[in-house]
Amino acid sequence: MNIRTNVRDGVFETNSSSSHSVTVVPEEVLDFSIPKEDLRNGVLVVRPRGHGLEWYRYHSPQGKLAYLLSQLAPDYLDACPRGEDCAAILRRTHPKAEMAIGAVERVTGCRVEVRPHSRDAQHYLGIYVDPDSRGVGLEMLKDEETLLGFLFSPRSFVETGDQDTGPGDTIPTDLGEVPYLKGAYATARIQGDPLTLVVAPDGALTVTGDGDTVEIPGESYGFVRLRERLADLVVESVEVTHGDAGTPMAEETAVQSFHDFLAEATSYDSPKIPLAEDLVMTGRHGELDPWTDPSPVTLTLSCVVRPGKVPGIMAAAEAIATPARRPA
Amino acid sequence: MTMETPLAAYRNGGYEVEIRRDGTKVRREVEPGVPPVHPEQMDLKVTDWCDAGCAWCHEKSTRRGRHGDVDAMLALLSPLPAGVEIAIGGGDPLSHPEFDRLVTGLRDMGLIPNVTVNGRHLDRHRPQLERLISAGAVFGVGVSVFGRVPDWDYEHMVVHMIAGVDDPALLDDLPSRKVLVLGYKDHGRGIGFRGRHDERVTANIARWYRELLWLAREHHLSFDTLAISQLRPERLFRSPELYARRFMGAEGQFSMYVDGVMREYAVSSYSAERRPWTDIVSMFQAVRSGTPEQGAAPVPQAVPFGP
Repeated sequence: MNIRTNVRDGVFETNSSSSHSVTVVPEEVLDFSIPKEDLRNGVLVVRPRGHGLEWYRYHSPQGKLAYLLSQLAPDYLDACPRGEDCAAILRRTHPKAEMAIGAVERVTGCRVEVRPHSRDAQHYLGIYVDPDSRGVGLEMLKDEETLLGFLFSPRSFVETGDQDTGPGDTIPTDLGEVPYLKGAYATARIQGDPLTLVVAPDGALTVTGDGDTVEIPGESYGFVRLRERLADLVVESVEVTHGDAGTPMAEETAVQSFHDFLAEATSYDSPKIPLAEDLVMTGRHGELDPWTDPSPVTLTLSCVVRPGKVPGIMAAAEAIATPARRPA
Repeated sequence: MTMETPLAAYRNGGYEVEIRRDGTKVRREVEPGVPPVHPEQMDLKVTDWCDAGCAWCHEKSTRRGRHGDVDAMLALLSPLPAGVEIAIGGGDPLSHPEFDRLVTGLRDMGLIPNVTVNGRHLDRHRPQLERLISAGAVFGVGVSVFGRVPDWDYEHMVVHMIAGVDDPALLDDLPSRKVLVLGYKDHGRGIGFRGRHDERVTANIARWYRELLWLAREHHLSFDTLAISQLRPERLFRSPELYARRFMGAEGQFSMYVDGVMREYAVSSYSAERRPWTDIVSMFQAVRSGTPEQGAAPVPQAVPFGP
């Protein structure tokens, strides 16, 4: 039998005029990563751009909406006077645009303006959508629930590419330029609880959080198996140490080591790792020459986990570690 | 893992209720269809006296206001079981000359006294509050914002802010706070204030509607029933199921209002219909019979759209 349960979280009833009827716990709400200033001004500006000719990522809700609108009506947007708000006409002529813009306005209380990128903007490509890419992602406009879940989830983003070239070391995004890492994506920082992951050269994983430490032997592939549980964290810094770690390592060497590690770890079909958009990368190396012996590095990932999620990660780590501890 | 002993736990009709030491309340419906016998929480007005003079005060409290009779209030509440929360308000409740005797009397009955004070009065009453908190006679303290967010690190302090009146920017750059967002009450002096400043009130409510999106990620928010209808916090949740779990019921289903000065009761402090008090269980049943069933959310008002 399902017992209906209601919970008021973390407050006594202090209201002497009515009652605490709803409490909001941060991990239960959608991710509205919209700048406070935009909310205060009451206007969200959506800037559609072309895609299919360069690598680019959309992380923000406005960016993801811009992508969908450019897929929905590329020719119309390309014909719009640059810099002008064409939301009203777009809404009148495209029912899906009306649904999408209306839903965002209802949820945010802000007016949505659709202003295609100016021809003077850097990287301006027109609202050109490569024929092979047309329509990709429009399933997110199926209904309001699907759309809002897509726009306001920190775990969803759109990556556009160019079939003729690969990505560089970095990729431009609507959060700014971020390192391009195959197994990761950049996202905004979150508030929560600390967790540290240390991957040793032999693949052993040490997980520390909530005052507890779990060690997973290398043969258990701890990092790969735990990654299913890592969607609720953001990696804020990575320290790469090599050998006995006495000398600061060149940043590009540290990035390369981390990149190599992620490339290996993502050879499995598992979710990408969220990295803070301003990820701090540091490294140190000892007497060993990192160029002649690049593999034996230790990676220390300092993370922030959404409130209340650390115990679940620790329990998952414990479950991975425990079988290996059993006597044969 | 050891479970902390709850502050209180009781059975109320078809419901089991647990109050934890951090204020968390967990209500389980163990016998569907069996209604609660008594309120889980009560708003108790103990005085009409106040010198803050807030232009929007729905209680219309003034310096000429009278105090309620403590013995009469304690006698009225004595049938309530341990664990029921009493949210004491006014007027300025701590100006009541027998406030200490009231809260110690409630606590002796096992009830959980909480109180709301105006931020303007906090410095005046803080020593008394801290003494009563140390003595275990007061738990939650709501502090109504009056121009600034109070600088008090009491763990069970909840900042009360009114949509339509207070500026959400007061919460900018502050560490996470517990904030109770109150809807605007078109009642008492709130009617005249709205009449004189309708545009300002409406724009402020629209601003709260938008700014909840960042407030919810930086602060611990609660809403009263009016705020739910005006600000629609259900749109913030990842799923309707999560919202349903957090919605504690419509006004009057598990709560009621008692005016200890006028010896009246009602569904809430801003109800137009008030009746003379009788006994607490009968009063609660009368309140409950006149309100919608639990789960019936407040009727949303139009989206306060616009900058």
